[in-house]
Amino acid sequence: MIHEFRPFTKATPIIDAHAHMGSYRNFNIPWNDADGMIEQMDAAGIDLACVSHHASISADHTYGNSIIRAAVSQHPGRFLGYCVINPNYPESASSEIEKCFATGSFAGFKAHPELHGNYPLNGPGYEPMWKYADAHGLPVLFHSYFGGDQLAIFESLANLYPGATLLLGHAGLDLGLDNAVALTTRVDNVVLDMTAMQRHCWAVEYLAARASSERLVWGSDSPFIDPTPMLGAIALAAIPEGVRDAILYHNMARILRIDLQS
Amino acid sequence: MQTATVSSLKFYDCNALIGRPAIPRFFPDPVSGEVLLREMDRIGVESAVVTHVAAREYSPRVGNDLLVDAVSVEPRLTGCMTLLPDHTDELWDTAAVLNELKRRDARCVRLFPSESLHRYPLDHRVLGDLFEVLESARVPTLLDFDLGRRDEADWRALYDLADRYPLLPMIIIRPGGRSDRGLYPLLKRSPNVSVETGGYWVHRGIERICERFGAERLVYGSGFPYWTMSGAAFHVASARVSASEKMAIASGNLEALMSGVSL
Repeated sequence: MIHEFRPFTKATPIIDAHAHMGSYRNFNIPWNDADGMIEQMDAAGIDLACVSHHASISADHTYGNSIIRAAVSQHPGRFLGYCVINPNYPESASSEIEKCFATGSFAGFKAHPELHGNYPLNGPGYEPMWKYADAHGLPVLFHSYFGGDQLAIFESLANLYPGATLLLGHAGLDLGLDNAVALTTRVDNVVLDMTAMQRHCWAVEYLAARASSERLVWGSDSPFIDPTPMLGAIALAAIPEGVRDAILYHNMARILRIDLQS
Repeated sequence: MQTATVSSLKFYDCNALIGRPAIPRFFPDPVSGEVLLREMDRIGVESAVVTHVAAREYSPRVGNDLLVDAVSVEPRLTGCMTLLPDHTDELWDTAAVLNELKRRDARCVRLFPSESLHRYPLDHRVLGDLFEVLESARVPTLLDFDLGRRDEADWRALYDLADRYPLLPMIIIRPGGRSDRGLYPLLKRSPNVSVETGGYWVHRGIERICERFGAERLVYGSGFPYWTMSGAAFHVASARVSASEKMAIASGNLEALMSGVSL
């Protein structure tokens, strides 16, 4: 008997809560524009990707936000934008936020403190972002990493801005998954974004067994990373079907206040 | 909508491990042959080339012996012996390597030259005699730099060794997602070099390598139990390449390399 690969049949639409777009200084990314990403999303079965541009999280956030605005406009229903502000340019934050959210192309924020000089998430440069997200009930996805802000900072921001949903990037892997899960039990508005940590063997099963299924969302980091190994780790995970559906669709649909099933 | 479909896709994993990692991150059990097979069955993986965790994390001599005991009764698993340069007499003499492989029914070897693991220069002055012997029998040689997520393989060493031993099949394990600028020149100049897919997560990287260099340069591998077998298999199954290219990557290329060994 040959043991053949067991394909995955999705039960819901799939929303990628953590994607990017564009080239990156540090390495080659083939087919990194909107069209190239959509081809790969179609191959994997991904319906909608929430995207911030690589230029936004590195050298020029206004250029990056403009590319995202155009991509969402050209591919309605396939992308939603994350507005990025660079905290090192605080004077432009309010106008950039206004410009982004005037169009309906953006559904939240992305912050990458590491690439913006290890700028603290609770620093004044990010304050306009937090206030806007809090006032409008928007998600804020932020990168987490060894050298960055600690969980106590995330907790204080969650308490300070209860209207915002904090999407804790990479599920706080570098800070300890158990610590991140514990944080979700203390505050109501922190959700763990499982991006990239899925590649660690059994990390999905580990997290799904410990966190509330309502507090997990799936992301790929695409095109920083190919989305298919990241999706496969959830699609073929040994977890209950209801948990898989919540991770791949229901939780992010609730956060974005959208319905792709009707 | 069904995703990741291709009929009759058979996987042959070049990078599975058994044993007891010093730092078990998430996978709950020590991995015996039985545990590995259980995960292979769950995902739908037919067979695997297996390295022992103890050979990687402790001692090649000990790990290689433990590996033989664990895989010898299971025809779906093939042993991969971890080697060291012989200058310090810690493992087998280079002249005895092929006999040791034959005796252990192993058709594949693996090197961990990085400072964090076995710590030796990947250089012909260190490995030349060994590579000559391996090349003479066309033994697939897995080169594993144990890279962190932002690390870089020793490309200059690879250019040099692939030039010097052009008939030695080399498989680069886990080159990472930031590797193309060093990897492409290697693939371009050295047809004897292949890449393990599980540790190569470049966006549409499988498609680009198939287009530029051919599907025969990619070999499915997972890195289980350190890395997810599910994601690695789904990656290949979902690739936007032809069914024949996909089957070559999933199992055909590794089968061809293993059938080319003459011990």
